[in-house]
Amino acid sequence: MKKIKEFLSGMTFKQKRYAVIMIICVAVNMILAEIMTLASVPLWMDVTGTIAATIILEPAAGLIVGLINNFFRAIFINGPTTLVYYSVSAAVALLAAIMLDRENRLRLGRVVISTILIIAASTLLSGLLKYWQTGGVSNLYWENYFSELAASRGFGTFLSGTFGAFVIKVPDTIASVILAVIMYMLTPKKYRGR
Amino acid sequence: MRHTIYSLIFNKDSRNWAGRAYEAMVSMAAVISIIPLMFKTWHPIFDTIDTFTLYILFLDYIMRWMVHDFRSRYGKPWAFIVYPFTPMAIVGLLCILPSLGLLDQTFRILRMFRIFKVLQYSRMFGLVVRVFEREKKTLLSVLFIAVGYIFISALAMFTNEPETFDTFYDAIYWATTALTTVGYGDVYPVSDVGKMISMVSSIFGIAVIALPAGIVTAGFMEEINSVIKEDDEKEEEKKDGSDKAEETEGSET
Repeated sequence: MKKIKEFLSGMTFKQKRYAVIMIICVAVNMILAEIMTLASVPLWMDVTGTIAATIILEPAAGLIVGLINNFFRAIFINGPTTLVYYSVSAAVALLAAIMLDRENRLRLGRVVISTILIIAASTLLSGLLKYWQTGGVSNLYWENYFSELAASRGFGTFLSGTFGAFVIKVPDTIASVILAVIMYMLTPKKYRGR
Repeated sequence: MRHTIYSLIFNKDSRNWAGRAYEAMVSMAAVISIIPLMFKTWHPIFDTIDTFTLYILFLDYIMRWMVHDFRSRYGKPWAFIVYPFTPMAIVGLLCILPSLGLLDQTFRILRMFRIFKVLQYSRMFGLVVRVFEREKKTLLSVLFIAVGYIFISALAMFTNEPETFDTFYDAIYWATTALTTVGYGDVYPVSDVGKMISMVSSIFGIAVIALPAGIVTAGFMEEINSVIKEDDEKEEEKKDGSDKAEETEGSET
């Protein structure tokens, strides 16, 4: 306990700020994902904290938050094979950085472009991984529902799976971005940036 | 933040205990993960080992990617784009793909590449890699000569003894095993001319085949000597520094 106290007192303001914000972002990812599962809402919402960490701190922070989140889910919930979905989180963290301009301020135009890119990249990546790992079957009911709907219209397995992912990703990403932007605005200016 | 990660992975300073602990953790995970491959029957504990070591190796792969721009000659963002195509990253990914469920379990043999993780942290392995990089052109030309020589020997033998060697592939197989002095003895020439070709090609071939070993050994010795010299110089610099500090302390008192 004494050593932990010593360690904490030895941390700089920046280190403390990073640690606190990143822990909050990891918690946001986990809590939102759990709420969505428990309430059977057809959304993932597990990248909200990742986007928030990227825009409040920096892309590397978003990458770490996504990594911790994916590790947690792999270890305690879904198993090690879901680790590959970190590529989706990583893409989200990197693309979320587009939201900020050179002075580290959010710009509406940039937010829209970033959201579109996040939807495209995460749909494609998760569709591809899902197809590679399970032949297109998701563990989200609504995603499978839309996949089957596309399949019944004559689309192939990959396209149907990607369509299912896309239908979910659009509202999911928009909701995540809105929440992350709210988190950014709620964060005092002195706690933002590198 | 990325600087902290970089120093954790690459700082070999003896004072960096976290870096040393990280290095030990990844090396141990790599070694332990290979143990299941030594057994014919699968045991449930192997799944636990596989899962546990997968987490560590995956983490190492991602963290190395995150800080690759500090080591790469390319700037951002190219360093990050190039990283998955670097030899060690390819090996690092291939060895975890079967455990990630992206490759069938028949590919679990790829796990043996995890031993490269241990070598990645080894200074000696770094020296060998440097030697190969430095002697790349020479080694390539020697390899070209060796392959050419094997091809000509095989062709001579195949034309002379088509009844012994069913296909040209058999002749290539014979030439390779004979010239590398392995000689399984399952395929061999039976005619007098064939035996003569075999003797002549073996005598000259052994010199061609032994050439790369000589080049690598010479390069390795040179590299080791330069490292020893560097270490000595650093030691002397340290000594000089501490002597000067003692002198200034003495004059002050």
